[in-house]
Amino acid sequence: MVVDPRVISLLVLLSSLASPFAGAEVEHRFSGFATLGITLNDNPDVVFRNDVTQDDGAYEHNGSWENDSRVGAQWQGRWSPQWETTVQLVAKDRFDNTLANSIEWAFVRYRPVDGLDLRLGRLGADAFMLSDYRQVGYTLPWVRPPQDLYGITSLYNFDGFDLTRRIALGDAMLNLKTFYGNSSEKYPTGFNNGQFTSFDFDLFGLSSDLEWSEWKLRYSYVRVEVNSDLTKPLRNVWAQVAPAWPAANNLIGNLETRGKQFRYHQVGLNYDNNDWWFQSEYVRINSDLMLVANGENAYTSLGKRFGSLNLFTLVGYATPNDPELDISIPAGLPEPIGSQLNYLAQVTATRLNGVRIKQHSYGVGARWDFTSKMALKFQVEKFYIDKSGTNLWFSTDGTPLGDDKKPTVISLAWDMLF
Amino acid sequence: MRKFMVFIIALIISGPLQADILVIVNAQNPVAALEKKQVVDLFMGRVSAFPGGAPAQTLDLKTGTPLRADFYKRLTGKSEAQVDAYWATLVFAGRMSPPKQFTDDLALIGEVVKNKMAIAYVSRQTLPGGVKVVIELPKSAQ
Repeated sequence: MVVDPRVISLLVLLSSLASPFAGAEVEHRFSGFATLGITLNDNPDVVFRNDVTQDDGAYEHNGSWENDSRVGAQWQGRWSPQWETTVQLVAKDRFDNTLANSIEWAFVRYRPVDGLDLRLGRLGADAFMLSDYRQVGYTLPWVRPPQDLYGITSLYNFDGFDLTRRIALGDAMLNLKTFYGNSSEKYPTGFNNGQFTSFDFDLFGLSSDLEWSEWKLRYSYVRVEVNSDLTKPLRNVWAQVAPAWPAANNLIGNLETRGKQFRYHQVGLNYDNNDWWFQSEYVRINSDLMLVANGENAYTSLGKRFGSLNLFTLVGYATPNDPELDISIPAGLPEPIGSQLNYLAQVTATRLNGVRIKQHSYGVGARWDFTSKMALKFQVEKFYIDKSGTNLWFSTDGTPLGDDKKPTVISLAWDMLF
Repeated sequence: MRKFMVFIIALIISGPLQADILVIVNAQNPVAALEKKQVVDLFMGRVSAFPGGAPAQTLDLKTGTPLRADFYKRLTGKSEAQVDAYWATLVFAGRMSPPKQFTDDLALIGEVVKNKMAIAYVSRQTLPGGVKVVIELPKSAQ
């Protein structure tokens, strides 16, 4: 196995920061979490994925365990009330399964005074309400974070720093956080076909969480700047036809990815009186890249507890904010340039429209805390996928969907903490 | 009538199982008393220091110990499963390390006697000189 230089630099960072405490009395904490899940999807044409990092999932009653099953192990070393180190490893079905990618977090935390935390290393990208613990099934009422919104989360972690400040406002508690770092990820582009797009990006974010009695309110902003050039071959082809059709130069500019940004704005609300609970989240993406679609994603969930049983309903929604791309080539161009251009326009439009997400869903489910630190979950969801926005799903045969799809997805999960 | 008597007796017997809970710290801790909200903030991982700024270390009983469920229910109204799920959000987000868990009251008291940063909860009982009570959670308090 080739060890990623990032892993080595993380380990060097951790050990160098820990060494001043070599003589100190260290408290070691080991903890973990696991989910054994199985997902069924009645539709033979589309593969259900939890999010855009997966290349495999449930379709046509195949009973996929890849969607949700995973094991996480965490070590926390407390050197003093100020210094702590954390390493979390997660084993699951990954598209790019390397040791480096299995390290979810590896960081040093410095707390000069209570209420102020500085962390350095590999950190969770705290973009949405559940981002920091989205893989820990036991923390969620649902089998997984709602797919209509969390399906777009491409960021699990980044290498950089974050700074958190806690402020007491009477009975309420406000947490402010800012983070900055770099991350890279391979996104599969088809069902089990091994192909991918490799993104490298810098991200900067701000988040604010307000907790007040039974309420939690959250707003966050994340700015992602893409460092990779992902469209060069396509732009080169268009550059060759630009002399015959000068409008292509516009398209070439819009296809650029390096140095361009997209931004997430998120708001979330949670209410929980230990009997009834409610959670809702909304995300808007503003993008300067054609390769990342402008859009809005949201979900709302309402639940009630009956002792150790928790019943809930779930509604999700995702829509692009721009119409489908249509590259119209003027008629009357000399052949064979005319038909070549038309073909190129069609391929380009298909590729770019493939990143759109247009779907909604309705679901019901239950969580049963049958014993300490273990929960069983059952969830049924009906998805309505518009053929013009299929990015969260892969077609089983690799061709774009010709019509809308309505898969029913049934999920079972056994979550535990240890 | 007989059933009623059995019910009354059962109520009387079950009384001690729902005893008062004492929240204790080391006798040398400058903190004299805590409010319920301050105890909630400490045991729910919202703060990691005593009022006044000295670092605090919360000590816990093992999951499944009856007193543990009782303590968190009185403090927050949450079931043990809800508390464990809540703590998992802090621990696996890397925001807090989990409270150290002990098997029983005696082990907890022993640790508080030794550790000046410690704070723990025990059922009402005669306590050694090395610890002091900062708040009582009577059984009626919900």
